[in-house]
Amino acid sequence: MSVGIVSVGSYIPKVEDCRTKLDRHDVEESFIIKKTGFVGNSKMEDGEKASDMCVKAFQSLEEKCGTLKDKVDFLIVCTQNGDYLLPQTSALVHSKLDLPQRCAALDISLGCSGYVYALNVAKSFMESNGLQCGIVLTADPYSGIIDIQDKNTDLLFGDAATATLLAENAAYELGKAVFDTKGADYDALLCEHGGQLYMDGRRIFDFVLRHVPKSISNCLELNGIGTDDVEYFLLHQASRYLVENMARRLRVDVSKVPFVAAEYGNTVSSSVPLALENYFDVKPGATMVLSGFGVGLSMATTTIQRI
Amino acid sequence: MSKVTLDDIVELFDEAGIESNVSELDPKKALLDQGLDSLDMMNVFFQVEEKYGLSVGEEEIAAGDWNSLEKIVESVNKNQQ
Repeated sequence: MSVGIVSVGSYIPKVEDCRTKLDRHDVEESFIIKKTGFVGNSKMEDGEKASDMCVKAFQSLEEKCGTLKDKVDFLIVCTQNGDYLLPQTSALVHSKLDLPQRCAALDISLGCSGYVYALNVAKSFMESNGLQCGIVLTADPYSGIIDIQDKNTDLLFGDAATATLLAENAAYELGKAVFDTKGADYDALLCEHGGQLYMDGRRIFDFVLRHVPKSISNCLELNGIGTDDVEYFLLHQASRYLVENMARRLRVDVSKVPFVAAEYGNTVSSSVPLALENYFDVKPGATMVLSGFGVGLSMATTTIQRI
Repeated sequence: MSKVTLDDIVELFDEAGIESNVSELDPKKALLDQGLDSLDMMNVFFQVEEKYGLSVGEEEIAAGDWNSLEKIVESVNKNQQ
């Protein structure tokens, strides 16, 4: 058996206008529009948790695919800001959706690279065990750990969740993926237990521009294709400036490297699947690149091809 | 190794896609006072490191050794000696 991506659903909570933050951070609106790119930052409702966002994303998926919950036999949640230290957030989602008992439910602790990892873990797990209906959920609400006085992070991140259905008779097949880790730079993006997010913007900027293009070119080579064969590069939406500079480093037209997150922010592991949801309906045979990169520091890149 | 010139750094800015009209920048004046922002400066430091194989340290940045076109030329040439 071979499973692939059938569909993607999502949930984006209410958005805070960036203009409410200009005075606090002494920045011009033009900096936000041209550089960070996020005119809004979405934020979970008070009392809402990662599992609640997952449920809403799943419901969005069911609106596209019909009732799924009685069929789900595999559930994975990608988050580093789950409901509790334990149990796993996927257990809460399993409960809230009243999923069948005969269902694997696990979390994966990754940030911006997490979607590509989670797709691969899900596909391998499902195919190894003959599972039929897998849901890959991403929900990593940074709003709970951001210091609103920190310009580096307060202007960037947004909360969101996505739900991806993996099954046979898919819309997209997954290509071969490349995974890289620079663990020595773990402290460039860090949050201690009970603490707030710290990000060294320059180290992250250097990491992305220096290493991610190589991850992408390695992935293309592994799949026997070149940049001209790719319809769109759906990159982690770190900021408008980084996405545009990535296009430059990849030597591809910026129209092939879309920036879609302007209205809601950098949503961590939801960033790439939200971009995929936006660009889902490409022509059969088209190949896209999905690339996530960030906390860890971690990178993961795969191709997907529309069937 | 040949000395790096102001023209070389202007060309580097073009390659980096820095939006400001580079040829109109005052080489002596701080770049942050001429319309560039912190992200532009990160990009400049990255491009300098990539092109010249050197490291632009935070202490040097804080000391102002890289804050104008002229200072960038001086610092690149100093690091390459």
